[in-house]
Amino acid sequence: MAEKKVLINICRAPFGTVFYTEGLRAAVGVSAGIDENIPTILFQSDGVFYCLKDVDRTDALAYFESYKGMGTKLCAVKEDLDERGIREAELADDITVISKEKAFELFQENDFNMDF
Amino acid sequence: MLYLCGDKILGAVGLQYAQMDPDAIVVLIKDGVYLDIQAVQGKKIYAIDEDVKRRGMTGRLKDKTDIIDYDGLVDLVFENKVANFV
Amino acid sequence: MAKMAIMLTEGPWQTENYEIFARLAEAALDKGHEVEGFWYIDAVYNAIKHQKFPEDVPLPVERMKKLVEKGAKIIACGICVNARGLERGKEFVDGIRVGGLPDLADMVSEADTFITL
Repeated sequence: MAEKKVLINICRAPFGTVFYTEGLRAAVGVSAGIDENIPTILFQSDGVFYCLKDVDRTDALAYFESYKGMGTKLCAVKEDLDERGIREAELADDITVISKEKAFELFQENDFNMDF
Repeated sequence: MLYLCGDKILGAVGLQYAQMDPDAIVVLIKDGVYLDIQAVQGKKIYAIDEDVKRRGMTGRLKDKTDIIDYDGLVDLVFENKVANFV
Repeated sequence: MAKMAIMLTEGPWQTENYEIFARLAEAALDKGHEVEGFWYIDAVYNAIKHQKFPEDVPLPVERMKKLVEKGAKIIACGICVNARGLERGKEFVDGIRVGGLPDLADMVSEADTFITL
């Protein structure tokens, strides 16, 4: 057993499928074992639509509370935001915008990743 | 890193990262065999035999795509860190 | 021998993912590796023993049962199971356990490779 770093890679937009919210739940889940694995959440491709500040987060509020406690980072890929005409000012406060290059580094730094 | 690409949308994202990775290994699985792999030419590219054959894609894959079976995939995913885009 | 963890998020007869799960898990088991599966979201439907589809032989559940017999450890997400009215998996084939996200966390901790399907 060993503590692992896990990248939760959310590529699908809300709300047409449940993948966005199940990814958010899995991020809490991976830290719930005997070892407290460390999740990082990455929104990319159409997943970045979840980062808009006006998105309804009702079904995920408990997860966001957990992220605060764990210090979980929520990142969105700048190139994917740009491609969709989303400006940084339109994003929720807890989202950190990162470059695709930095997102690439996240894949290298984390032990495992899960796509949603 | 091994980029497991199994879906046209997710797999396309995986190929973008593979382009940035000098040591990328790309594995096309499931609908990943339909992906346009032009941009990752020169990288090590594998495709899963069964997934290619049942789609009638055997002659349509680019040169230098190595065909492997699930047995071969098992070895690759233990030998390399995996980025999932399936 | 190494340990492969696979998270499956799709049910039978909707996408090909359950078949990929079965093929990959079987190949790993046949090579002497350990396989652990975490079934999330609709993947829990793969475990229902009353599946019927005359043209589809073997049925998804039969393929999964074979994996368990070969030593695969498969855990279905309890919240997903109960949400779908599957009552703690009472109609599940033997050998597939209903668990929770802490099981996923432990699989992550113990695995040498992690695949999502």
